[in-house]
Order: sequence, then C-alpha cells, then structure tokens
Amino acid sequence: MSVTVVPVGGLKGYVGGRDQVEVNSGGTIQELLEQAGIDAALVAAVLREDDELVTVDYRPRAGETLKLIAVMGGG
Amino acid sequence: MNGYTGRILRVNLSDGTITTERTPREVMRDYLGGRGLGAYLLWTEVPAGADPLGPENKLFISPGPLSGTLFPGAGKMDFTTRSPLTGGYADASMGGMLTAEIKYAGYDSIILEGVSDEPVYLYIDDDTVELRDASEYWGMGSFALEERLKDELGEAFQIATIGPAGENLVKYACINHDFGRQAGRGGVGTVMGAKNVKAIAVRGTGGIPIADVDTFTRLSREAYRECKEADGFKAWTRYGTMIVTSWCDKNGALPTRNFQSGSFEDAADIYAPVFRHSIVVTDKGCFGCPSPCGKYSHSKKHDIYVEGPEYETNGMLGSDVGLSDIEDIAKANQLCDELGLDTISAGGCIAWAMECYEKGILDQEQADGLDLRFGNAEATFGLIERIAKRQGWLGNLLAEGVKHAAAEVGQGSEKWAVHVKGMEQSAYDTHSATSMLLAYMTADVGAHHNRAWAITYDIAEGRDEVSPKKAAKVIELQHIRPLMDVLGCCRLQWVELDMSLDHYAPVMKALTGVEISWEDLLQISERVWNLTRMIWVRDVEGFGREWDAPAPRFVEEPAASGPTEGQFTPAEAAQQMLDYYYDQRGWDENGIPTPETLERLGLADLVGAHSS
Amino acid sequence: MRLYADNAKCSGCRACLVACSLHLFGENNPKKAALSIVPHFPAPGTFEVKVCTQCGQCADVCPVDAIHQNDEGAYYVDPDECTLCMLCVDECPEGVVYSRPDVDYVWECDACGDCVDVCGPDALWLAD
Repeated sequence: MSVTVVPVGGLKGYVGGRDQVEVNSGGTIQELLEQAGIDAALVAAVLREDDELVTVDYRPRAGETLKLIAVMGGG
Repeated sequence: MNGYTGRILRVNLSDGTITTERTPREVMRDYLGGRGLGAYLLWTEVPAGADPLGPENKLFISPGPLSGTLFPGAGKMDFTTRSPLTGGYADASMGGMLTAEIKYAGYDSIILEGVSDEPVYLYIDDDTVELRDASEYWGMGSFALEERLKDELGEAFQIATIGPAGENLVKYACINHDFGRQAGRGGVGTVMGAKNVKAIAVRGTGGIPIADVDTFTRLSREAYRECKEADGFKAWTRYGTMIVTSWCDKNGALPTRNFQSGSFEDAADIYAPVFRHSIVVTDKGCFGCPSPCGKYSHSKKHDIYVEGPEYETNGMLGSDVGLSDIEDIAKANQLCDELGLDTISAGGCIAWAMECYEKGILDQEQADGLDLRFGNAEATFGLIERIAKRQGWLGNLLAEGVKHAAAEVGQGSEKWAVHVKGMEQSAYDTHSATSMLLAYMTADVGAHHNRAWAITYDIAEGRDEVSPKKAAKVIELQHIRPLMDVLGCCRLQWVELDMSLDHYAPVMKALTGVEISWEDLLQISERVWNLTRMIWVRDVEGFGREWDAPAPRFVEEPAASGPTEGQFTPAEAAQQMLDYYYDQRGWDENGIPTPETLERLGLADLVGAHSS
Repeated sequence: MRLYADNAKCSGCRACLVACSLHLFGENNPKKAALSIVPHFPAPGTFEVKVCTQCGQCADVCPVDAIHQNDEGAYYVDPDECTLCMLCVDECPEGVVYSRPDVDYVWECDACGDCVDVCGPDALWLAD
C-alpha cells in the first residue's frame, strides 16, 4: 500500500529533486519521511488533498497524496 | 522622479506649520526610501539626547519606491523614530492600504515634528493638508475611531490611529490601520501619542510615475504568476503565519509560560486548522498582495472581530501566557488592537508578571485583584486593560516594559525578563537555536525576528552548533529581509512562497529608470544596517557589546520541557557567535562599526566622527 | 464575455484595480480602474467586488451613441464621441462606469482579463 509524498521547495533536495515519491503506508508521516530520507524536522506542515493541514503525527491512508510544506523563512 | 512623488511633507505640530519640500535625489539614490530614508532622517534630524517623548524627537512615516505599484506585496510602509521603549533606533513596518494612499496623495515621506498643544489628527486629501481638532476622538479605541472617521470623511480615506495606550504613553503602544494591521513595535504609537496626534487620514487620487511602464507591468505580472503557481501558495494563503505553530511546538521554538520551554502541552488546540475552522471569516490582504496572510476572524464566544491571531500573537498571548483556547487568544488580540498595544511586548510583560506571581514575588493585591496564574484568560484580559490605561500599580509598571519592571521589582526577576535592548523577545524560544539567538541579540530594534529568522538553519545545521557559517547566515538575512522595508514592500512573497529575489533589481530599474543591481540593493541594505547601528552608538551612552547580550533565560536556565528540555546555550557560546558576527560585519570587539567599514559603505562623511 | 467575481474569495488587495488602470490608461493609479472593491468592516468583515456585467444599459441610455461593443461583446466608450453628459454613470446598476476631472470621457470595463491574472485568490474570472 503506498502513499504519494510531494516534497516542496528545498525538501526536493532530499529526494534527488523528484517532484513526488512513493512510500509504504502504515506509519505516521514522520516515519514515512524517514523511510524516504526526508528530514521531518524541516517539514512545517503537511497538506492533504482536501487542503486540510496535518502534522507529522498523521497516519495517512493508502492512496493518499500529501504535500509537504517546507519551513521557509518564518514571519 | 519615477517611482517617487518627489515631495516630502513636513508637519510641525508645535506651531502648526505644514510645508512640502523636494525629495532629495541623492538621498533616495543612497537610501531608496522606507526604512532607509527613515534611518537617514533620524540620524540627520533628531539629535543625540533627544527625549523620545519630547518635541525634538520626530516620527518619520515613509512608503518606499515599490509601495502602491503593481509589484506583488507593494503594501508596506515604515515608521521610524527614537524609541521610548529602548532609547535607541526603532522602526516598525505596517501593511494594509495606507502606504499606497500616501504615494497617490503625492508624498514620499511624512515627517511629524514637535508636539501639539491639543489633540489633533492629520488630514491629507491630495494637496490639502490640515491639522484638525481631535479632542472629541481622544479616548476612543482604534477600530471605533477608524470606523467613525471612514463614516465622517468617506470610505476612500485610509486611516491610521492610536488607541488609549498611545494616549497614555505606554512604552510599546502601536499604530493601527485598516481594521487589523499595525505598526507594532518599539513604541512608534507612543511617540505619536506624545505628539498628541490621534490619527492620520489620507486620500490620494494621483498615480505613480513609472519610467518604463511596459517592462514594469510585464515583470510585475510575471511575479504574480510565479506567486500564484508557487508550491506553498495554497497552504500559506489558507492558514497564514499560523501555519508554523505546530512546527514551532514540535521543534521547541514555541514560547511557553514566559519562555520556560519551547513546547506547550495544549498547543494542538491552537494549531492552524483549529483556528481556520473555528473563527476565520475572510482571507484579508494588504495592498497588492497575491497571498493574503491576514485572517479576519469572528469569535462567537467573545462576540468580537479581529484580524488575527497571527503566529506572533498566538505565541505571545497564547502559549507564552498559557492560554489554549483560540477564542481567548483572539479576544486578547482584539483588546490589544483596540487599546493600541503591541501584542508581542504586552504578552512578554504579562508572562513575566505571571511568573513573578507564581513564584510568590507578586501577590494578588499587587496584581490589582487579578489571579495572575498562567492560563488565566480573564486575568490576561484584565491586565491588558490595566496596562493600556496605566491603571493600578502593576498596570502602570508593566506599561514601562519588562526591563524596567524587572529592575523595579528585583528579587531575581531580571533573570526571567526576556528582552534584548529593552524590547521584549518575539515568539521563538531560543534555548537551543544559536543562529536565532544571535538574530535576537543583534536585531537593530531589540529582540525582534523581523530582521533575521534563522531557526530552520539551526535545525538543518545543528541547533547548538557555534560557527562563523551561522553568523554569516544571520548577516545575509539581515540584509535581505529589511531591504523590503526599504523598498516599501512585503518580504513574505520571498520568505513563504520562494518568489525569486531576481525580480527586485529589474523591477526597480523599470520603475525608476535608474540602473541598479541586486548587489547594489544589498549594499544599500548593509549601509542602512550600519547607520542604524551608529544611531545606537551616538544616542545611547556606553552603547556596545553588553547591549547585544541575550536574555539570561536562554544562557543560564535549561528549558523545562519539550524537545529542548534540559538544554540552553552557554553564555560563552553566545559570545562566540557575537565574535564571529562582529568580525564578519567589520565591527570592532565592542560591536562598533570600524572606520574602514563606514568608508566602504559611504557612511564615513555622515557618521564618521562617531566611529570607533 | 464578461467579468465575474466571487465576493467570498476577495481579499481586498486592490491589485485588480492597478492592473486595470495600467491597461486602460498606462498609469499606475487604482482610482482609474473599471471595477471597484467595497469593504464591509469591521463587521461582517468581507469584501464586495463591483464588476461590469456587460448589461448594455449604458449604451442604451447614451444620447449620442458613443458606447459600442467590441469583438468580444464587451461594451466600450468611444473617447471622441463621449460628451461627458454622465447619463451612463447614473444609469449603471453596478456603479462601474467612471469619470474623473482629468479624463475627458467616461470609461468602463473592456473585459481584457488583466485583473484576473493578478488576483491571487482567483476571485475574478472571465466567461460568457
């Protein structure tokens, strides 16, 4: 079961510049990011397809696409 | 003068004379406008020793060349003055619509000098400029007065007001505008109140001359497209700055109970989605902004409207005072806005008082009957009112700022007065984030994050790492971010949407017709940075390294809980960061710009006698 | 072809007004635009966008037949024919026919779409 993760901006560097990456579902986003080699500490938030914001503790369902919002430069 | 109006408005409040003078070209070439013009005028027109609340101080109100134009984010202006809170340089940036309206009325800057005998408001309708009687408005709240003036003068007028806090000379009084925007920090509202100016009302019907209209329009439209197509556009626009609340909480950066720790156990109740779903009514934007961060909200619980809370207020009047109900934070926000108080400084002072109370140093009688425990919303509301009105011993004390309050109360309370240079720290806990700690130590208004926001760099490079590389990052940010305050536009299109910085030089060239490169723009920003440093050097006796000291909490006391529990930054590490910083800035060991640095930046003639 | 607006999405930024003035007059002056933003603050805290619906009532009422339709079906005022009688300004149900002392004709929306491009929240769009 896979989940599509869309890294944004500077986070693309962690996945070789790819626009999206498939990871196995079954854990929290934090765990899935570790799987993908993306530093979760640099993820500000995660946007679901319905525009709802979730944190890295969220457990995605199979087939979901999640957009990672990078921490940019603050206020 | 393309990009400019060519006129500066000078208002002498002591004798009522109103004059216009030509915008000096050489000054605009070297300082551009906004914060740059403000710093230049503050140096040249306000002498060392001027009482911030007296007639010699001035309030410089400056749009920038981009203000009011098609370029994305063209809605910012800068208020510059000598700070009643810190005694040094202060500026505060404000969004909304006013900056554009001032340009359309035909002014590159408005200078308020002297002190009016009677309450007045400044009325500007294109070329008609008057000081009008404001005695019947004195005492009114900010929103109430804006609504009334729009009613009396017409919706077309843009209105800025001070509330009772500015009238009562609370040291961190702010200026309100457009039902929810502020020039918040450093007491710019206090200076306006000391001058007896209750409001500014502006209508302007002119245009802004552009050297190359076609190129300027094309470049600006491309920039809008880039913003709208940005990866983070949708998320940013939906949640605004509140979007970072959860990240800060999870990374030990969310100020909790007077910065005792960087994580709040109830923070999930004040994350962005809760906010969005419970109270947000409208995404409200400043002039020319494609990505409105303003979240106009309605709290049914308290039956109030407020633009906010945004992240800073969510931190300082939320987790930092222990509040976890978003509607209570919205109410505290609205109270500060209506009364005209900077939410960051207010939160910092209240949190300090709460810690004193819980430690038994202040009692309920001293607190005017308020039960000042962390998390008490009613006590928070009550203390905000008392500060704004200088009511009761504690309200009056906190109206002076946390540095003064702690010096007065003593008993070790200086250790948890979280400020730098007398300005209360904004909402990022820096127990373990050495770049951000340095950013707060060296920001030129006091402990504010506007000049450099470097926590991501800390997380990426190692939170407690001490290195020249980190100092370099802080310096880099301190040149780019306040450049926007010089240009009269917002930095968040770059900061949050990653809009390319490559736009700015070509857009400035198309606007003004003057050749300029990105390197030129950065050098102007570095010039302004050194000028504001020299203002501190000249105006504050004994100014030097000690004034860059971090708040004791972060270098002496471990964080109490959360991801940074047990951590703090040793004082020597903070000083080492400062050493790297001074070295790279071309300042001496006491933090004073060297003659060589001033020479390189073209400041030697202006400030030379005061250099190290 | 006409402009449509979703008030609920409008953020009040006025970029549309600046884009419009640049299109109509080559000037950066939102007071010379062919649409308007009406704020409702402090309550209920929303913005209203007044746009030309291309209803044609201005053309109907013009005594000198100075208002025509272009190839997209959008109404426009011929500057040379306009006598500034202001009947169309009063007649317009949306209040989006404009005049100013420094312009010797009235002007209105020609459905160019520049405002749509600069609207961040996509509160504006063109359609039939």
